[in-house]
Amino acid sequence: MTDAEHPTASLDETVHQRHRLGILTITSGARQADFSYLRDVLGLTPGNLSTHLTVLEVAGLVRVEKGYQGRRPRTWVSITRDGRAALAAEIDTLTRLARQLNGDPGKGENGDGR
Amino acid sequence: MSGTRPPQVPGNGGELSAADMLAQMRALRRQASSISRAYWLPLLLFGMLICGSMPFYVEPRIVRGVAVYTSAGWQSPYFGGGGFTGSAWLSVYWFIALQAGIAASALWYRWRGYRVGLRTPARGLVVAGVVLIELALLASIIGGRAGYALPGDLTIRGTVPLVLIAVPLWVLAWAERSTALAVIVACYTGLALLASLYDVENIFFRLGWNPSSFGWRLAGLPNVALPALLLLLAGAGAWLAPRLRWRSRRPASA
Repeated sequence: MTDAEHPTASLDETVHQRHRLGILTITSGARQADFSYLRDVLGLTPGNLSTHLTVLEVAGLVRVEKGYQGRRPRTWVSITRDGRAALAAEIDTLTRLARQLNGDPGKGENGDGR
Repeated sequence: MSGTRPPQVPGNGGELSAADMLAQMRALRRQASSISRAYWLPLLLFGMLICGSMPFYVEPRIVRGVAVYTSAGWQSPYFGGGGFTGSAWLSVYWFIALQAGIAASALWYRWRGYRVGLRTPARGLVVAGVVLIELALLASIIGGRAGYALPGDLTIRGTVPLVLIAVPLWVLAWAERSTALAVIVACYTGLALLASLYDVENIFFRLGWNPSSFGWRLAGLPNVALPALLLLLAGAGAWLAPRLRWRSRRPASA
C-alpha cells in the first residue's frame, strides 16, 4: 500500500483536530450550540475555543452569530453545509482507518466502500 | 505503516486512535441529542389540548327521543365542526388551540435552547403547523362554497384536528432525529385515524362500559380520550425516562 492510498492521506487538518472535530460533531446534531456549552463539554478555555472557532469559520465550516439574551451576550455556533460535508468525509476516513488497523479493509461507515 | 507502535491517528493536543476518536464523537453526539431532546412537553401540551376539547364533544341532550345538533356559529369540518358534535364552539376551540399548541411548543424550544445551550431545529414544527392551519382555514372558506375536499366519514365525528396534530409531531420527530418520538407519533396517527373513522365507544361497550347510563351523551368521548391518553402517557414517559436513567447512573454514595 502506498502512502497516497492510505486513508490518512484524505484527512483534513482543519477538521481532524479533535476539538474542532468535537465542535462540528455537536453542531451537526443541533440547530445552534452556545459558546458556553461547547466550552464546558470540550473542556476548553474561552481563548482556545475562540481560536478553534475562528479556524473553522475562516474555512467556512461553521457560522458564528453573536447576540443577546436580555443583557447577557450569547454566541451561537451552527454548522454550514460545507461543514457537514467535511464532517461526513472525516467520519468516513476515520472509519476506514479504524477498520484497516483492525485488519478489515471493508466498507466505510457510510457503507459505500469509499 | 511500520514498526510495533500501536496505530495512532495524528492529532493536535494528544494522539488518539481512529476508533477512539469515533467513540468520542459518538459520545458527544449522544450527549448533545439527549440534552437537546425536549419533545415531552409538546406531547403533554397537545394531550392536554385534546382533553380541553372534551366538553365540546359531549353530545346534545336528547329531548323526547330527538337529539338536537347545532349548526350555529362557525362550523368547519377541518376544525371539528359540522359533524355529530354538540357544540357550536368546537371549530373555534380547535382553531385557537392548534395555534396555541404550535406557538407554545416553539416558545418552549426557544426557552430551552437558551437554558441548555443547544437549540433544536424546531423551525419546521412552526412552519408545518402554520401552513397546515392556514390551509385548513383556506379550505374551510373555499369548501363552504364549493364543497369540502375531505370524505364525510373522516369529518363526521369532528376529530379531524386530532389528525392535523399528527403532522407537526411528525416534523418534530424528524427535527429531533428521534426514533422513539417517531414510534409514538405513528401510534398516535393510527389512533387519530381510528377515532375519525370508527366509533371507539363500541370497543368500550364490548369491554363493559355502558354509555347509556349518561343518556348516551358521553358516547363520543372515547374517540377523543384515547389519542389524548396516548400523548399524555408518552409525554410523561419521555419526561421521566432520562431522569430515571440519570438516577440509575449516579454513584450509590452520592
